[in-house]
Amino acid sequence: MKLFFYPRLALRNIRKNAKIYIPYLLTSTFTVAMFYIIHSLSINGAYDDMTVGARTLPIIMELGTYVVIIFAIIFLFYINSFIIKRRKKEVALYNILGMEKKHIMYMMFYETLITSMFSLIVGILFGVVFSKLLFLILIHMAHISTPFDFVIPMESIIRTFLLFIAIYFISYLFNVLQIQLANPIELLRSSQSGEKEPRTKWVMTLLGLVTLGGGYYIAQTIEKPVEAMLLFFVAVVLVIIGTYCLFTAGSITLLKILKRNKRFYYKTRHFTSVSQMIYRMKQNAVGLASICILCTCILVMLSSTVSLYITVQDSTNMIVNEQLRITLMSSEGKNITEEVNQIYNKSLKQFEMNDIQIKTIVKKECYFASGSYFEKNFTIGGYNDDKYTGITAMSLDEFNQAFHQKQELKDDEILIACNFENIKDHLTINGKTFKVKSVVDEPYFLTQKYSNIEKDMTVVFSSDKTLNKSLFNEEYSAPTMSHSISIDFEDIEDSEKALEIVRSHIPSNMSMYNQSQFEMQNEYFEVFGSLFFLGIFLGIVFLMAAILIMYYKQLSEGYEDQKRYEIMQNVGMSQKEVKQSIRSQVLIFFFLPLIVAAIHMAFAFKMIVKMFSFLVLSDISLFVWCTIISIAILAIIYSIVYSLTAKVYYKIVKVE
Amino acid sequence: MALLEVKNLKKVYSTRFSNQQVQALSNVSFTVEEGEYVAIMGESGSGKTTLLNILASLDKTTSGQVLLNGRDITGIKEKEIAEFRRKNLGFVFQDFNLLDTFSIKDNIFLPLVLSKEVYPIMNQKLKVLAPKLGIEDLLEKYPYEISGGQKQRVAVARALITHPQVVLADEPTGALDSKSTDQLLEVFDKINDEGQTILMVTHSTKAASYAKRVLFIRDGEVFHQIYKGNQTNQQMYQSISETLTLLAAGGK
Repeated sequence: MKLFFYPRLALRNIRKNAKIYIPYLLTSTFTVAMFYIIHSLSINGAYDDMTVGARTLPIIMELGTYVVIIFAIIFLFYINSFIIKRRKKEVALYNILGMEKKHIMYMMFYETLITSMFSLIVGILFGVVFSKLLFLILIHMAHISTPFDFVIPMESIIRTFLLFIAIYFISYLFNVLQIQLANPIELLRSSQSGEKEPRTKWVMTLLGLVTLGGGYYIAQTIEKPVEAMLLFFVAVVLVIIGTYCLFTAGSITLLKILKRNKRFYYKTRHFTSVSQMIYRMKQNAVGLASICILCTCILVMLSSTVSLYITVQDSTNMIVNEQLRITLMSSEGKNITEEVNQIYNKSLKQFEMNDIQIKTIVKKECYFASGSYFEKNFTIGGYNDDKYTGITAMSLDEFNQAFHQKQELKDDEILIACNFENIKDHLTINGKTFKVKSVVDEPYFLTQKYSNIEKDMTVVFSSDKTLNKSLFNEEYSAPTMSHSISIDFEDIEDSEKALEIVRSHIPSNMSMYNQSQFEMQNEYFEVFGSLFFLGIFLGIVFLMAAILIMYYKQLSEGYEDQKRYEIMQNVGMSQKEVKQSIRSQVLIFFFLPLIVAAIHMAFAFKMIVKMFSFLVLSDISLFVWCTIISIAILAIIYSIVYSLTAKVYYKIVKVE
Repeated sequence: MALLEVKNLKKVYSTRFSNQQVQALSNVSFTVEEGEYVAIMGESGSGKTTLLNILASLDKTTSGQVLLNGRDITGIKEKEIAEFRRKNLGFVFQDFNLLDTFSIKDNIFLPLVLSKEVYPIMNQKLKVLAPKLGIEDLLEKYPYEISGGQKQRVAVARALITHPQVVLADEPTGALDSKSTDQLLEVFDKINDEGQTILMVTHSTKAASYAKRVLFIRDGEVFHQIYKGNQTNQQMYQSISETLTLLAAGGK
């Protein structure tokens, strides 16, 4: 009997404290499962079979693994410290009833053993079951076609065991230390001795307002995407500081101002809430601020990864207009027009033979150069500023041939297309002014038709001679002519085959450069698909953490408020008023972080759009919707947990 | 008509897990006139706390009636109980029951705020009441900053500020030292002189000796009562002691 005494006692303790242990077991199991899943996804052998380029996915998953590790450590320690705080009194009672600290240590050891084994075994089981499903989802989201080869990696199981046993063991040591250090009388005496009312901290409040305002200001005024990348972090840090300051000091300042307003304060509905909130804020402000930041992270992550993922196709269209663009150049600086024509004709024949249906194809000879453009004035050369513009130039003959046109141009006339400004009347090139005869709107005429980052224009001159004379001069190295073939297929998947065909005809003295929407899309799908997956995955993990912290906070608050509500009911507060008071407080407590997170998101919005326009995010209204939907989902889940928590809380404080 | 009339009060507790029943009050009847100061004495388990809880409408009776100004308080609906309690009864508890999140002033205001009183009137009432209880200097402090005796006087102020028909005091001197006890009992004397009806449950012979009448409860029944009449506190103390001895000896 003695053999099983401690395990049995431990099991009974866990059952008796179900209110705090069940959520703990759930979370701990969930965390184990999440870690196992993300780790197994990051090392899955199936990736080895994938094409050479497809290596970003495991890297992104590995990144996720680290986030989950850090998170698991912080989170499980936090909950453990909460549990031990709540159970100190009980432990002290055992101590006084004659259990030595040694025995208590045994008891707690078995408690830890039971809970950790439960979490590990059930967690890994769940992990194994769901990792298969999630693997399929991930592969699908990343548009990866791989021979299905799903295994249960032993390494993940071992890693999971090691990590979590270490976490549980350290928390056990922490608990033992807590018990060793305290004496039973201290443990028994609840800390009911009144607390000082917190002071108003004007300096911190002001600091919070200034930093938050500064962060918001930066977020609103950022103009350049590259600048945004740098300033982004400044803004984030400022907003985080501001959030912490305002939650800790600002909330109390606000409540104190409310309290000073006698007509507001001495109202039945405000009286108890305001005075209790002051104390609650003092204890919980840091936690709430953390949850607020966490919620903001979830929102940013979800909305941006979702919209990046959804817009992959538009994004690739933005970078290249055509499905396949092949650019050929002589590596020896010779004229290769003839050879290119041969390659072109041979390839066309082979396309037909291989049943590759072509929608549109355009072959053109042109010159590429770059310079600076300012108020209808283009000068070749000069980089590194916001006037930087790329230019593509071709002769009228080439233009007419490539686009099947019969245009005529005088020497001082040009045809033009431009992706950043509508140049209609005239343009000065290197000091010489040309009349714009018409604006061209042919497909593939402009290299970067839809880009909102790179400025680009294409100009047609009356002849090669005018072109060379006007655009280039001796100061710059001789212009290189390049040949480009732009193809749109009936079926985009043919682009790979077509590319291979063209490549087989390229001689060694020619260099080839190609941009394929198909390839790009695959790459983007992999990157954004796995980011999207990770965004949802981590979003769920963070959300669970935020909710659980709330739950535990409310629970401990409930125990502290028990006496208070009893007094108020004795003095004549009705059950209904108690319920109302609880509801409004729990409501503020729960939704304050979420609301502030939504405000943060609103201010960050512009900055994120700018930042991602660098990573090609084309559809802003889609991003708005993704954000709104993310907030809505968060709010719904939050509301469910809120109503559950409010019920538990009310049960605790209710006077029979 | 008596202010408070208790008729054939009976209270039986049945425990949740067994059919065993415990009779806390078997048959209690007494009346309290307006302006009276009544102490209820009895040993632990005699049922005096149950009685007070029923009078305070915190507990339900098994049978019998409690009439306050002719109205049966045992029949008040759950919804109205809180308001009834707020308007008609004032409470003083052994462990003060002050809220540590409120300043002294706000603690006293609590029942008024619950009754939706406006601030100027609350303040007016407090200005009249505070000097009588000697707590004018404490108003802006917090419960943890003042002594037990002071806390209990604050609790009395909270009970009195609604001008209740009856002040119910449950062992009000139980947690006080002798000096604070004297001060509190003098306060009770003073407010009773001004016409406040007080009903006090106590263990303390000394506290009871200040009352105008003492009821003794044993085994759930009113066993005996003595009137103070013209006796001094000292003499009253003597009479109570004798009765208690008699009670303890089990005589009739």
